[in-house]
Amino acid sequence: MLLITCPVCAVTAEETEFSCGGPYAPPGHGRLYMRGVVREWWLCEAGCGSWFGLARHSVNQRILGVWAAGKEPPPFPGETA
Amino acid sequence: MPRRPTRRYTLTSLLREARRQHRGWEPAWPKAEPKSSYEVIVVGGGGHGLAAAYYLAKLHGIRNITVLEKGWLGGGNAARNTTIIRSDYLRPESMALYGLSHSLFEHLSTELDFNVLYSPRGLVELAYTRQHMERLARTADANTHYGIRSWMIPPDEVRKLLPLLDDGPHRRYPLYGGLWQPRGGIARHDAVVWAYARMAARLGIDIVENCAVERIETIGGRVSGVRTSRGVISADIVLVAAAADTPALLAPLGISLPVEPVALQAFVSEPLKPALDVVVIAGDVEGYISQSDKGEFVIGGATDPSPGYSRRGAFARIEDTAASLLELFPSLSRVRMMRHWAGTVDITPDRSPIIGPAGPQGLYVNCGWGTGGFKAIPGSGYATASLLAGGKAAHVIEPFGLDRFRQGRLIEESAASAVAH
Repeated sequence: MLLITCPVCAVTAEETEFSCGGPYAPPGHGRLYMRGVVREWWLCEAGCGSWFGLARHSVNQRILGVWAAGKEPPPFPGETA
Repeated sequence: MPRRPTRRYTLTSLLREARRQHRGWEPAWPKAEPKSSYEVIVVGGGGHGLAAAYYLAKLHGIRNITVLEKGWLGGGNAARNTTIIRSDYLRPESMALYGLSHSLFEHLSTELDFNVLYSPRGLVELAYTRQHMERLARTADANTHYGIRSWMIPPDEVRKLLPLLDDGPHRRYPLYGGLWQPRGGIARHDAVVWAYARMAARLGIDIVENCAVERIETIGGRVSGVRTSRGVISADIVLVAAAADTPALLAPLGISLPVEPVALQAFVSEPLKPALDVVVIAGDVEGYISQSDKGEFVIGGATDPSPGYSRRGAFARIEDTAASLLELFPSLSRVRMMRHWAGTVDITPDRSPIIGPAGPQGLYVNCGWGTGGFKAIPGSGYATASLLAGGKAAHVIEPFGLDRFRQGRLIEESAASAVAH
């Protein structure tokens, strides 16, 4: 179970209050899921309704960061571009 | 005087071994050291990889094969499923493949000299909405047309099959009926893997555990072998059957597989007396339940809310699945759950597997089984072996090639899958 903080409205809640929108890539440029750090779109579904970015490790589930759209952070440790 | 080890599993060998304290059994498969070169390398020692290797050796005479497994046999999705076997699918392509598999299951224990505890006890899919009823009726019609034995049954017959089913005044949904497949059932999942491994090893196939394949080597558009954690192994044909890890192995070759890894959880209760003698699938409450031969209830539900390889499972789904179980059988509310696990299922956009050649000559994939791969192990292995060896059964899996996504020729099974994943 992921505990997520929305970077837009700052609410912290379980992942069931959010919705995963798949890899963080422009439409048509689908990226593959791999073992390691992945960037995803998430929707603050039960909160402010904004889409935001989230980086997490696909094996140990640790969340490395969240950001509002347009404020993409530099690569995280262990992340391959 | 040392006696010859006992190989076959028969009543006489069991009695003989009982007399010498079971010290004479031969290991089911020896721990093989990888050679430097093989005719065929199978990446992934799950059910699909082992079955393909076995049928290559058994039916096509190709015995210079190795199966490379990153962990141990029966440690992946082969041991992380709910063991349900059925072939009541919607599309003709799926019915051919799953139907072939179902028919191979009928004689699998004899074929492999290993009791896989195949139990065709009957399987019912319940409909609690009119829409679901219509969907199941469509599947039943398709099944009848293509020779898969399944038909719709009214609520009265469902109640007769499932005395445990909640039918009282407090039930939440009206029962409309069900899709009944009399030969649907379950089997022992570990036994299927062990049995294929044992017979494959007996036919001369090297099964190498704890050997992770790191990359696939190619020379001039042809596959030349694999680089593993235990050195380079060369081969002209490589079959990658590594479930959710297949995309990462093929990505360096420029091949993109539309496969998403998601955790799917399952639960086993404490053993109870026999109370449920059919497999129950209820898509409307997102649950599927059967009672194992030991008496444990084996329960599954929907996939986790977000993708990943963690094999940990989200708490929300544990609650959802328990809720769906109690929706059907409130009398089980005091039953304790003994075990719980998650497997990383490899889900494709159309919920059908990806089987066929990929990219460089000699490279084949068999993945994307998603939430329903166990039931397909014998058929998938049989047809994949045929594809690799140029046999007659290859046509069964030809529609499942990777090119179907480029051609828009999807084999859409998501509407017909037991539970929406």
